Amino acid sequence: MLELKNIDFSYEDNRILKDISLSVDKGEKIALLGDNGAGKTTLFLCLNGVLKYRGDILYNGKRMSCKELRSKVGLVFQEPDVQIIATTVEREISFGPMNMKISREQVKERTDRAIDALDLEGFRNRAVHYLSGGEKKRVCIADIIAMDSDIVLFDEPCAFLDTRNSLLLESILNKMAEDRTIIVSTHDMDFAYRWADRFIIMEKGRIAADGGIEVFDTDYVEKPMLWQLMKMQGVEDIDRYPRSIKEYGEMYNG
Amino acid sequence: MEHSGFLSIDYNAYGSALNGVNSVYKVVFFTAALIYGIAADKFAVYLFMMLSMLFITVCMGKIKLGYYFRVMRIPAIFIALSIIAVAVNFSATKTGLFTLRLGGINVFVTEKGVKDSIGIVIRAFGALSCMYALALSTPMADIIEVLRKFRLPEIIIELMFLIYRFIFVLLDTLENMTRAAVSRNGYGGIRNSFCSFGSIGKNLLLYSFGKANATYNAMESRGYEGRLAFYSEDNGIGAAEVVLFILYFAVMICLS
Repeated sequence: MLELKNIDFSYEDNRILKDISLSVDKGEKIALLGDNGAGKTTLFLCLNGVLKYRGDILYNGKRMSCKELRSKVGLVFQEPDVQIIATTVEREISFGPMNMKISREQVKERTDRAIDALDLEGFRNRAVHYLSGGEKKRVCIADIIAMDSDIVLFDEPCAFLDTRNSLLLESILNKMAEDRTIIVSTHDMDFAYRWADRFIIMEKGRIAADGGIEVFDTDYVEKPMLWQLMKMQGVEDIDRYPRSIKEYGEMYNG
Repeated sequence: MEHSGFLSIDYNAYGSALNGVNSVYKVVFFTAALIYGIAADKFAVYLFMMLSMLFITVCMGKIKLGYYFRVMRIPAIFIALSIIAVAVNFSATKTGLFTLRLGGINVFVTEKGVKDSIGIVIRAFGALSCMYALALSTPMADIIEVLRKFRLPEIIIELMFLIYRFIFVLLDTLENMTRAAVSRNGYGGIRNSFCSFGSIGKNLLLYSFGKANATYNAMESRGYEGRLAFYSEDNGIGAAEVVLFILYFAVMICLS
C-alpha cells in the first residue's frame, strides 16, 4: 500500500532520517518505537508530505508528491493545541475537508460523520479552547477522520492523557484500524505491546528493527511488563506470550 | 474554570441564549443602533439604548445581571476619570455651583460642567451597552466570520483567527510558566519578580515562535494552501427578528 524507498531528511547539516526503506500494508496496526530524537516525528512529517525529503514514497505503486500524500496520509499531532486552529469544534473538523476542494455538502457529511464517530455531538458548537485535554484529543482525531485518509499516523497519542482517556483512545484506535492502516509513535511499551501487530524501532534516524513482538528481544527498546513477566516465568516460545492482562488470565489461570 | 476580562466576555457569549441568532443580523443590529444613536445624539435615544440593550443582554440573552454590571464597571472607571476632567475646574477666585477650597486653590464645578458630564456619561454608556450587547451575545469567532462575509481582506481575517486562537494557548502557557516561577519563589521580592517577569516574557516569545512553526506544519498537513476555510452554518433570520429590527429603529427614530 505505502512504500518508502531510501528516505533521507536533513535539517541543515544534521541528517535526521538516514536511508529509511519500509513498506506498509492495508489494515496494519504498527507501533513506531524509539528514544526521543530517534526521528519518529520527522518520519511522520515526511510521510504526511509536510517535510520535503529525499527518496521516494509510493502509494499503491504510484509515486506521490507531498501534496498528494496529505490526502492519503493523515497525521494526528502530539499536542492538540498545535493542531487545533479553528474556534469551534465543527469548524475545526471541517478545516481539512474544506481544503480538499470538495462540495459543501460533502464537507458537512464528512464533518458530521467524524463528530458522530468520536461522540462529539454535544461539543459541536463549543469553543475549542474551553475543552479538556481528552476532548481536544478527540477533536484532533476527528479532524483526520473527516479527511478520510487511508493511513493515519498518531504522534504520541497517549501523551498528556489520563488512564480513562488513554483507554478510550485505545478503543478509538481499534475501531479506526478496522478499515485503515494505523501507525502510532509511542514511548508506552505496554500500550504498544498490547495494541500493535507490527513494531518498527528507530534509532538515530535509522530503522533498527522491524517485525512482530520478537523485536522486544533486541536491546533497542524497553521491555513491556507482560514480556518481562513471561521471561521471568521462563516461557521461551514467544507465540505463547499473552498480549494483555486479560489474555494472561485466560492463558495461565484458566 | 475562572475567566477574566476579554476571556470571560467571550466565554459568556458562548453561553448566551442569543448565541444561536444569526451573527450577521446581530452585528448589523447592534452596530446600526450604535451609529444611529451617536448620529441622533439625543439624551432620550441614549437612555433608550442603555435600557433596551440591558434588556436584550440580560433578559433575552440570559446573562446574569450581576455579571453585566461587573463588566460595565471596567469602562465605568475610565468614564469616571474623564468626567472628573470635564466637570471639575480650578480657580483662584470662588465661583461655580459648588466650591471646595484646597490650600490656596478653589476646586469648583459649574452647571455647564455638570450637564456636559451627564451628557458624556449617558452617551458613553449608551454606546457601551450596544457594544457589550454584541460582545455578550456573539463570540469573537462569529464576529470574525461576519467580517469575512463583509469582504474584509483575507489576510486580516486569517490574522484575527490565529491571534484569537493563540491568545488562549499563550495565556495557558503564561499561567503555567508563572505557576512554575511562583513554585520556585520566583516572585519573592521585587528583584526576583522583575527577573522572573523578564524570563517568562522572553520564553513566551520563543515559545510562540516554536508554536507558530508547529501550527503551520499542522495546517499544511491538512492541506492548507493559503486560505483558512471552515464550514459553518448560520441560522436564518426569522420574521420575529425582522419585526424586532423595524420596531426598535422606529422607536429610536421617534425618540430622536
